[in-house]
Amino acid sequence: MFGKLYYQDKGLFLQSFHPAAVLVYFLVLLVLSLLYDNPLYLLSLLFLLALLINGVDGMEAWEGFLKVGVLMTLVVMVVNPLVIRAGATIIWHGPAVPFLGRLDISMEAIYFGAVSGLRLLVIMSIFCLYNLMVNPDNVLNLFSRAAGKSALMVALATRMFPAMVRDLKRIKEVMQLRGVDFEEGSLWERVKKYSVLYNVMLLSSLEGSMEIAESMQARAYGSGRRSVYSRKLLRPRDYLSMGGSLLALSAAAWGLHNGCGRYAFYPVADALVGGSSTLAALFVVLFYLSVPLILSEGCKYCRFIKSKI
Amino acid sequence: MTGTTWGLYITIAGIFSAALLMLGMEKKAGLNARQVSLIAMLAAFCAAGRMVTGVALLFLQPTMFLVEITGFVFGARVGFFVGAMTPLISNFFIGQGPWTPWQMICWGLVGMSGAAVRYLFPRAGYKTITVLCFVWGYLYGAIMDIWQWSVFIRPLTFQSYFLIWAAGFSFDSLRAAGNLIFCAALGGQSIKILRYFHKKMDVRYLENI
Repeated sequence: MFGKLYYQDKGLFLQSFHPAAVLVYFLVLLVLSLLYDNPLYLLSLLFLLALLINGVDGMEAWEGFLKVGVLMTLVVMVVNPLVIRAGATIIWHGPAVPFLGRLDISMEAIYFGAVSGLRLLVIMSIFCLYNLMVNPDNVLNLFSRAAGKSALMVALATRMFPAMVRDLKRIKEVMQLRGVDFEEGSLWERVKKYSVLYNVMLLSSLEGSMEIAESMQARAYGSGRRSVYSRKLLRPRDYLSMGGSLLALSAAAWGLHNGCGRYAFYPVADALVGGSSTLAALFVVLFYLSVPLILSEGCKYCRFIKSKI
Repeated sequence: MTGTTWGLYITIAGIFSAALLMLGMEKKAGLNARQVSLIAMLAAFCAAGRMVTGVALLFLQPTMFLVEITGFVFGARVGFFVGAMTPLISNFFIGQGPWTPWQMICWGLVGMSGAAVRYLFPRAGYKTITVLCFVWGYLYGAIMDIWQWSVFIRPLTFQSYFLIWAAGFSFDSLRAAGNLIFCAALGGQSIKILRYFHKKMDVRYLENI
């Protein structure tokens, strides 16, 4: 069930970027999704993300994310019209409520709720793509230069995680073979049985951690400066995508300064396309953001590009 | 619209403060091999508890009290690390998001509050911890609502925050009840086990023998 949600190395081009380049790319995507108000801009970001997720073969994982996203969207769409009184097109005059005042549901407030939900979907898609595209070990490796011990602890814990689930099953089986029936008895009796299981788990895993510490010490952990086994190299593809994301960010900042991507919902919602400059700014930003996608497609069909990046 | 930028500010502030706290704690704590592996193991244990039961039982998780007790027995820094790493690691499996840094800070605070209890009431037992865990069930929801509110809701008024908090009230109550039940059932033994390892870990090297 969880297998589809986290990183699997499929040898795809999009998974071969340097972690720093990918992190810059995702940071830019996240900033843009939080800065843009115009639904058209948000929709095009979502479209780009859908193409990228398709590129890393992750449509199934995305479906799960979208289901949660739609649920949260509904909550926002319900809460928003209840508190906002700024909309001009009122579709329902409600009764007066003591804490909130008069309940007037306006079209614009529902619209705003829907656009917030769209933003939520974009953000969730960004992180869905992150889970599918970046190897967490490489990211930790990147951070180990600044915070070696934290990175080591996260890596150790992530590695122990599956072992712990395995241990849980093993200990449960041992207890069952000794005659403990977890399904039998009243609620309190069952809780008692499970608490024994919990204690054994905690004790055995902490014992295990002491053994790990001893083997770390035996391998001279903490005896001097940290040495490094391997580092990933920055390749032309990483420079290209990093440059693309920085250019996209500056283009977006320039556009936002001139009003492209901004959008007023109240009292009456703006037109979706304010003028040709709105579309031009959107196109430029999207082009820079789609550099990894272009490289990935180019790699498939053109040997020259493949040999150069 | 100035309101939208707040979502960005709050998220970025979350990322930076989580990173800075981790970095600063690491530089200050001067962890040795035993502490490193103990923190990693406890974090994995908590993350497993959060994920396995988080899916099956929704919000009834046997996790938050353990973070609290870790802080109570091992002190603020270990408590913070175990707390902050719990959502980070379990989110590798149930979905990272812009909520992760804020969750890390919240859980880290849970661990540190355990240490504060030991500092303020040195003779406190697991009953005090149980009460605190119950309170944290609601407090955690209230802090996480700040993030959700600042990113998705306009205008940013007290009323809209109250509505978001009320929408999550039933989940918060479930979490608080779960904390209460699990801490009452397992808290005493957990404190004993962790204290035993605390003693075992405390190695002093004699110089010049």
